[in-house]
Amino acid sequence: MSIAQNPLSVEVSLPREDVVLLTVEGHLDIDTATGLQHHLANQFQHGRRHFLLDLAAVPFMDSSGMNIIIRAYQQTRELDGSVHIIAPTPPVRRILDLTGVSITVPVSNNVEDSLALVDKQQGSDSA
Amino acid sequence: MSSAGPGARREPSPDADLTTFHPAVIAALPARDASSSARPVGDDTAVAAPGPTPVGPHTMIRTWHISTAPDAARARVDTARLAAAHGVSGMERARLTAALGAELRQCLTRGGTWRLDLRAATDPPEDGLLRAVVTSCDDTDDEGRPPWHMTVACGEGVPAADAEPVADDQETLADALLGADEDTALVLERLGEQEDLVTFHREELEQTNQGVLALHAELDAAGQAQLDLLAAERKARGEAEAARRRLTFLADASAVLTASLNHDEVVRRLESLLVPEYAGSVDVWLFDADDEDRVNAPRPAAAVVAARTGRPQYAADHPGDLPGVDDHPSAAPLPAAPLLCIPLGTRRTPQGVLILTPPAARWDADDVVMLIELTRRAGVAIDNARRFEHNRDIAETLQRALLTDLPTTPGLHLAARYLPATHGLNIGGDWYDAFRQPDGSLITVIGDVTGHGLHAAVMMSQLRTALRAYAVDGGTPGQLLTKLHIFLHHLQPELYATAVIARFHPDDPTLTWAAAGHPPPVLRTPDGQVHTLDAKPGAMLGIPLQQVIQDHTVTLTPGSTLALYTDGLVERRAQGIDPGIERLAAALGTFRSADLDADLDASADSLLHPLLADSERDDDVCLLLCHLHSRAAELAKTPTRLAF
Repeated sequence: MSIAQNPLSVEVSLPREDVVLLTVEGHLDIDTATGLQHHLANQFQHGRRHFLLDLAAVPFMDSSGMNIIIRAYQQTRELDGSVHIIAPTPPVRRILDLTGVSITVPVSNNVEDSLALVDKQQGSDSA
Repeated sequence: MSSAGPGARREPSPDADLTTFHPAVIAALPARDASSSARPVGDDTAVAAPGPTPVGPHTMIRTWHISTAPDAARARVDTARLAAAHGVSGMERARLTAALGAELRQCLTRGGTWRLDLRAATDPPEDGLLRAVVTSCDDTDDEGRPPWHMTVACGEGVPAADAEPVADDQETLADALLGADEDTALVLERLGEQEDLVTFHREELEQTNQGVLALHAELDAAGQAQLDLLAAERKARGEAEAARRRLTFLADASAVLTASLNHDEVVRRLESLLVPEYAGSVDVWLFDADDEDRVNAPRPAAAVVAARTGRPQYAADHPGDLPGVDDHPSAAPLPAAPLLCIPLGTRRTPQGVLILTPPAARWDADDVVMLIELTRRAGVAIDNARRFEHNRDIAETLQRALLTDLPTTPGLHLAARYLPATHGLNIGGDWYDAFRQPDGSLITVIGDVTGHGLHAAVMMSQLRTALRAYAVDGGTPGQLLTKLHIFLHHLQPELYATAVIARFHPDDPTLTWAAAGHPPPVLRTPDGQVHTLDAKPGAMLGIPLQQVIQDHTVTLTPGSTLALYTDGLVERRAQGIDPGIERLAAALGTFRSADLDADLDASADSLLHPLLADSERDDDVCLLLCHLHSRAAELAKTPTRLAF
């Protein structure tokens, strides 16, 4: 029922070859989380290491959404990659802070900031 | 002597044979002018015609007096001869003599003496006319009867020679008779020609008529063809429309059916979808329905066959000839109305039989194809719903089995509520627990395993057991949560949990608590003030992060109430969790300490009710109220019940 009420749209773009930006729109919950997970799995298959999740248009996220983010974080850690959250709405930001997800997954205000963090990580890796 | 009527006056033109044949021309009409009939015959020298055409004077050719048949014959013969002499054509001659003969016979029958005058009209001379007039010589016999007369046309260049009266002998009469036959033969020949002509024209007309008929037939055929085309087009359009309607219905109906994960609801929707357009009535026979009456109800024979064979059956007093449907043998008792029995589900996983009566006298074959497909989809939907319900029932059963009977204590009252999600898959992760540690402390905990369903419920039970096991060795809430964090991370790297643990001690008014990614506990103090215990919590249990979760403390005064809850109580999609937490705090502030002392369970109910009024109930809700009695110290001093 929620699928019909709150369809989730995910737009995929590649700011760089190993960086994928997923712009998510809609409620990220148990009914829609699988859709996002498929997109993430697909990008892992294509060898992306850095995942930027733009959540500016996600008014609601439940634990299913957090599960996906933390799992992606665990997978990228093994690949020396990263997951970044961009511009979460206040309710989503509140959940990310409350659960401590924002401790492990950096939150940025915009795509440029998160790309800068990716650069910084790559610089420290190579150093 | 009167003039003839316009019809008799008409002068036949020599070349107009067709018109001279017309009866109007040859008719010997009696004169209409009654007054003129009284006039003496001889005075008839100038007659005013009724029409505008003036008629010139007549020249008397000859006169006969007739009283016997030989007189008449002689007169007739002479007339014929004179007419011939005046160039009257054979046809006209025959006409004149035949008419004259007939008139004279009548006159002889009547008796008396009759006079025949033959005159020639000389003016205008080029249009010569020969006129015969019969009048009675006996005045007494003239009963106002008009004289008979007849006019025929003479030939041109007349008269050649004035004929002498015929000799009164047999030979002459015989010659005349034979001559008359020649005239008659000529007439007959002309008649034959005319008949041929008529025949020819009739044939022409016939052919024309046939042509017209053929044309009409072609027009009719073209019209019919057009009608047929229109009808065919209408039919094709109707069929296309019906097919489109069926497909739309199938798509819509499938969406409606699969939208529900409740198999009773699927069955109900099936009925409302099909009646009245595609079925008169719908009965769903589910094989393992809970309802005893439904299980044991008598079933139509065709439904039993459909259940046994897995093939649709049609039972009626006529063969259905429906595609993909067996006609049920008519030997079985016939149903009152035709029945279509379609198996629900596959042969490997039969669900039941859909039993339909037709919307009208019979089903359309295409509708039946659609109904079979819809039933197949309904079977899938019911199967899915049942599997889902089964899974969900197990999760809920497991969860309820693990939810604790709360320890009863004299100084500290506990009240817990667990409300599983009323719809959706979100069941399974919430839990609460309360138990004592060896040092007499009471541990209360509330938690929420992320993810849902059976997996989450099982994980929840493991966490719950692990917590109890760790707590046997003592440890503060923060220490216990840290252990759970490590436990979960190692055991289930893909599952996470949030939790709050609060520890009460009978000899110590200090409440120790710790949280991991969980919404903050809310504390009501006896003065009616409410405090949100939002000191920084640890991160969610199990996430890939090393952490030591901190303890926090607050001093409790008797009459204080601590509310532990899961996010289902406070989280709303439109708002997040903070407005919900504020509402919980406000609601708790309205309680009176005396009520909380008296009946904590009632307080829990009255707290939940308003908070959940706007909830979609798509998530579990857990609430654990811990109330330190206003007279806790007093109660604790009771020797028989030490502390709680």
